[in-house]
This record gives sequence, C-alpha cells and structure tokens, in this order.
Amino acid sequence: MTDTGKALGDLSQRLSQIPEATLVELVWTLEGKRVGNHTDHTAVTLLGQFRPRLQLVRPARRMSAKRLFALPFEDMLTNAPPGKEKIIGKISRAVINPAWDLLVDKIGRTEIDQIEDEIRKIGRGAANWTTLGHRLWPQCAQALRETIVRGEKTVAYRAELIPKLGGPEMWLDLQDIADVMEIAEEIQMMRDNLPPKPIVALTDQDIAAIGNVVMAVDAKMKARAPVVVYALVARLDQPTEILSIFVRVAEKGMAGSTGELASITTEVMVTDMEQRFEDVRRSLAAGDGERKTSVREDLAKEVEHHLVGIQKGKDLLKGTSGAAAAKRLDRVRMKLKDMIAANIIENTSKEIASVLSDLKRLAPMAAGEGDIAEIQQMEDRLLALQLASKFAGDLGLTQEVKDELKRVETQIEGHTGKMFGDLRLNGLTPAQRDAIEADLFSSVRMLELVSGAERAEKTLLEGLDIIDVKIAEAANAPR
Amino acid sequence: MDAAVSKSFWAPPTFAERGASVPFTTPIIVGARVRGRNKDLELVVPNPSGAKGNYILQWKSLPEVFTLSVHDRVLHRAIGEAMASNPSAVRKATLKTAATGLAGPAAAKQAKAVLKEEEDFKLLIQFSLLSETVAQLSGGQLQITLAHVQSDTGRQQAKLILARVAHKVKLEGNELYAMIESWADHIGALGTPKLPKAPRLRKMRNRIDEFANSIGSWAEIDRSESAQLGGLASLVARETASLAAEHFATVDALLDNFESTLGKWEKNQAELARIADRISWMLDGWDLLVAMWEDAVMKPPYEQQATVQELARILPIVPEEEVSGARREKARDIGVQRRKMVKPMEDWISGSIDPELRTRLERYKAKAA
Repeated sequence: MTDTGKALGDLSQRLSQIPEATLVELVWTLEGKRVGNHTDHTAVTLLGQFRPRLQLVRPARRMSAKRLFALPFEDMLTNAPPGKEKIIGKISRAVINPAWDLLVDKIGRTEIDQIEDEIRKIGRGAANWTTLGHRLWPQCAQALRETIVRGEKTVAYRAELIPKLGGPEMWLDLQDIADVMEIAEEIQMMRDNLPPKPIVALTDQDIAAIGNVVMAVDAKMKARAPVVVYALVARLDQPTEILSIFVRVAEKGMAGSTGELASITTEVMVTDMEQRFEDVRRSLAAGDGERKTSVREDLAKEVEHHLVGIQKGKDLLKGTSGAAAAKRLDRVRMKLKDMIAANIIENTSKEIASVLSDLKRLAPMAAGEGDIAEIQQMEDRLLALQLASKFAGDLGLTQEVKDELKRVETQIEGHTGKMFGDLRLNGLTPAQRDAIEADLFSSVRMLELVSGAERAEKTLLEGLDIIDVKIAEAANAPR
Repeated sequence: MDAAVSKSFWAPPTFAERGASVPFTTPIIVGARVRGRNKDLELVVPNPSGAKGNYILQWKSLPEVFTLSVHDRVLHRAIGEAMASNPSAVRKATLKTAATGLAGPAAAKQAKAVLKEEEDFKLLIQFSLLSETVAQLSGGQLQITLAHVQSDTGRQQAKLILARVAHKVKLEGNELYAMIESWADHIGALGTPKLPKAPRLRKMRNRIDEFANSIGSWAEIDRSESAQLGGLASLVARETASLAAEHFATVDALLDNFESTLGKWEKNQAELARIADRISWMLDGWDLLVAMWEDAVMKPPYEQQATVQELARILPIVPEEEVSGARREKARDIGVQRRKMVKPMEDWISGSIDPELRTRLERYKAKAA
C-alpha cells in the first residue's frame, strides 16, 4: 500500500457515512485536481476508494474529452487482468488510454482542445452529452476504422501498434470500440433511457426505448446490431434476462434484427455468466474481502444469485439449438459447487471446535473492549452454511451441508453439555458468574444459527436455571 | 391471534399511544412498539399480513403468536420485567440484552461502548454546567476543572467553590450542586451546543437531517415507484428534525443566563424534564431507519428501492396531538400520504425466521445502538 493509501486507512468503510452533497463536492474537487495533475496520488487514491459509491450515487462527474469518448461503452468495461483471452462483449479498461492517445494523434490536438473547451463551458450543468458526442464519436469511429483497416492490410503496422495498445487482445478490444463508436449515439441514447446498472426489471417504456434503438441501428448499420446486445447484457443484473427482453421487444413489433442474433445473444449471455464467476473467484483469490466480516455470507448470497440466473438461462435454452450453451452453464454451476464446498462447507466444524475451546475469552460479553473479529468470522461461517443449505440441492450438496450442520450442532451441544455437567458437579461462585454466562450466551447464539431459536432457547433456560440454583446453593452453604 | 386491528397506526394521536420502538431482530415484528395499557403492556405491530393497519397484542402473548429469535425472547422478558413503556426504559433493556451477544458480536460490542460513552457524557456535561455556573456567577473570577467531577474529593472541593457563588441565586452550595446534577441528568442525552462531541439525541437529530438530505436527493433521481416514498421519508425526517431543533433551542436557551435559570429552577426543571422527554419520544425509532438507509446507500438501486419500501412502513410520524397549528395540518397530511403509498411488504412476512433478514436487522442494530 502507498503512503497515501495507508494514511487514508479504512476510509472505504466509512464511505456510506459521507452525506451525498459532501461526496458530490469532494468528487468534483478531486477530479479537478486530477485533471491538472495525473500523478496526484491523494486524488487518484481517494477517487479509487470512492468508486463503489460513485456507481450508486452517480454524481455529476467532471467530464473530459477522453471520458466522453468512453461513455457509450462504459458498462462494457472490465478489469480482467491483461493477457487474458478476449472476452466477447467486454472491453478492457486498460485499452482506453492507448486508444485515446491514438485518437488524439489522428483527430488532432486542436479539435480535442476545442471539445475540451466546450465541455468546460457546460461546467456542472446536467448536460446532454449525446449532443457533444455527436461531434466526437463519428470522428473517433472514422479514425479507429481507418487504423483497423490499415492494421489488417499491413502486418508491419499492426505489429507496431499491438505493443502500444498492450497486447493482441487489446487489438481485438480496439475493434470492439470502433464498432461501438459507429453507433455510439444510438447506444448512448439507450443508456440514457434505461435505469442505471444493474438493471433488475424493465418497464414497457424501457422495452420501447430498447426497441427504438434496435430499429435505429438496423437502419443505420445492421452489422453493428450485436453491439446493442453487448451493451444491454453488460447493464443487466442477470444476463439471462436478455432472452426475455428480446421476446418483449418482438411483441412490440420492434424485433428488427434481434431474431437473427440468437446465437450471438446466447454466446454473450453465457460468457457474461462465466465472467461473473471469474470475478467472484478472482476476488476470493485476491483476499479482497479480508477485512470484511461477511466474506463467506456474501459469497453464499452471490452464488445463490448466480444459480438463479443459470437456471433461468437453462430453462430459456430448452428446446432451442442452445445445447452447447446449456452445457457451458452447467460447467459454471460445477465450478460454483466446488467453490461452495471449499469455502463454505469444508472445515467449518473444525474451526467451530477451535472457537468453542476458547469461548470464555472470545465471547462478546467477556471480551471487554477487545477484538470480536474471531467470533465474527465464526458467525460468518455459520450464516454462510445456513444460506448454502437453501440452494445446496441445486448443486448436489444437500447431504454435505446437512452433515456439516449436524457436526457443528453436535460440537456446540457437547460444549454446553460439558459446561452444565461441570456446573452441576462443581457449582460456581458469584465471581465466576459473568464468565460462565458469557460462555453460555455465545454458545446459545451459535446453536441458534445452526439449529434455530427453539432449541437454542431451551439450552439457554437450562443453563441459566443451573447457574441460579448453584449460586443459591453457594450462598446458603455453611461458611 | 389474540389481537385487535387498530386504525390509529397510521396517525396515532399521542406519543404514548404510538408506543416506544423496540428493536427486535425477528423480521416479522420489525418496527413494533410497546405501550402501557391498564397496568400492563401491549405490543403494537404493523399488520403481519402486510395489509394496512396494525395489530395490538398483549405483551405476554408475543412469544405464543410469533416465532422469535432468542435475542427477542430475552428482550421480551427484560422489557416485561421492567414494565418498560417509554424510550428510555426500553433502551436500558435493549442495551442490556444486546450486550449478551445474542444479536451478534457487533451489536454486543456497540452496546458496551454506548453504555461507557453515556457515563463519560454524564461527567462531561456535569463538568460543563459546573464550570459555566461558576464562571457566570463569579464573573469569571473562579474556575472549576475536570478533576472536580472525577472523584469524591474533587466533588467536595467543587461544592466549596460553588458555596462562594451560591448566594447570587440565594442558595447554599450543596443546593446549587444538587440542581446542577439534576440539570446534567436531564440533558445527559441532549448535551449542550458547546460540547466537543454531541451525545446520543443531539447526534440523532443531526443524523435525521442528513438522512432527509440523502434520501431526498436519491428520490429526485430514482425512477421507480419507491421514489415517492423516498420523498415522503425525507419530508417526515425534515419535519421531525426541525421540530426537534426547536426543542433543542429551548433547552439550550437555559444556558444563556445561569442566574435566571437557577433562580427559577423549580419551574425550569419541570420544563426541562418535559422537553427532554418529548425529544426522546420524537426521535424514538429513527435510529433503525437511519441505519437501514446508511446500509442501503452502498447497495444497488433495486436494493435501495426495497429498503425505502421497508422503511416507509415504519416511519415514525409525529402524532397530530403533539403538535399544533400548521404543523398539525402537515402531520395529518403526511399520515394520509403514507396510507395511500405504502404497500404490503411480503419480504418481511414469513412464519419462520429468515436468517438473512435477521442478520440484516442485527447489522442495523449494531449501527443504531
């Protein structure tokens, strides 16, 4: 971590507490600093930390010619590591800078500066960027198409360009950008008319907006119709929704070329599902959630969400020529199964045993101002296991989850059973009461998470009863 | 179900009728309130069927009617044993229960931190009042330090210093000290504007203000039907915060002239007690709503929309009879608007306890305590 990063500490944890108005002002100021100085580490780091919230709050951003260029394909951007195979329907974020440098050379600094001037004049007003894009995007489309045609004809030129872009897959990304630029106004119009990413549901009005864009693209450049699919899938919460969206568009009599895009639509949908799995896997491998206390719970929720999408996709592919795509979805499901088994089921009971053996120290009631991280991690495991039990059947893991829950339950009951036995045998003094109660409450909490409230309360009442009786016995004992 | 449907849920006439908010973690009774009735307690719970109106249950019958989390069973017993039916008494039972860890370790840690912080505030406010009293009554000649409230010896010395200025308000030193202690007790959760950090209720008022701004600007850009509810929540929050601000101003005005305030202490004390009580009722239940929204701010739009639907159902509207004039008209209008807009919330309605929903409520609890 950089010094700035260290100094900023856990700012991301407190982001939700910054009022929206303050956030908007902060972002505006920081972007202003960054425009003046690309290496301003504080501005760059802070904006990086703000990114998740910016996607939600969507404050007016400080526009620039480069940002305007990337606006139509913003949803399609991916952070996949360089060197990965080209992903259909996605564009690497890393290609923006080299592509822009190329465009500035081709279009000319003067024209770009004039566009920057126009942007500055608009300032913070809620601008319709499509109007300004009308000037920039066609120039970008033309410049990129010329570059691509030349690169395809001239091997030497392509060989010179590819390293500048960052690799062969970036050359393919550049082609995708050229495709987007050729229908950028239509794509941006669609983006403006649809809810923000991730879209969960679409109204009839939204469907009509999509239909209008499909028809407009067909009329302008039918060969670019797949770009509409890429842009739309990238904006959806569940990529599998794309199939039913096109059915609704067709019902409005606006199907256009979408009927001819069945195979590419399926391909993009399945690829998107695979990519989402890859994102989860990468995030787990990188330990992104290390500081979070709900890593496994979040994973369980995410997998459940993906499984819904996979099932829906498979249902929609039934009876079509999508057998191969359905198999790919099955492969994603198998990978999710392995992920759940390794991260949520395996070793839960072992880790619980370790926590139980040290519960007097770790219990929140006993821990004073101390650390509750270990007990939170344990809760995270139990909650994730409970959540996994809801969808274990879809993954063929029903028995595994059931067995692990049983093992955990047996361990907790063994722990409380031993505690009660010791108390009955040895009694306790008033001074020991707090520590014993802390242990009891924490054990009961764990039991509730795996076995439910009825059973847990029974254990709690039994324990409190023994404690009361033994304390009374100690008070009445002859001195 | 031994319960009666009450039409007054949407616009309860008084705070006591509205009841004190109980932060249960069982999703089906989220937003429930407890109130005293004929030497017994009742639970007022938003209609579990999701329809409009609410149910009134005898307090003791709650565990027979709903499957409760262990935390809620323990909290239910604690409130029943204490016969707690106002925000302050319910809060005591809530913090004690949360400290067991039955609502999760974060809520336990927060409850313990809050209890300690409240003790610290008590001392700080007492010191601030003592110091200001001495400064004002001695014309800046005498001083009280923090050490004067931190030990018995210090307190004895403080009383001696007070004795030197007490004649200004025709009192003995001990009497003056007792008045200041009582003053500090009344404003323990309200604080004073000069304190470096705001105690619970003053902080809550500010958070409600921020909530009003945040959800209000969200409502302006959201395209779903929840936007209207977001606007309503913002309006209710703004009204509540503004009404609370008027009450804070009255309490704070007593700090302007100690000679006058202490000179008519009997009357002022009664007024102080009344206003402090009203502020605590006014802001009661908002901690859950603010925590729900703060949690939703980092979520995708569809989750924010669901949260707005949830929180609109339990918006604590200031009862009509607690305000007068134009405010009363506004409160009535808000009640009507909410009745028209809010829909049943199927997500929260289920016979068994959904662990995911309960975890969410526990997370809010850890933020709200």
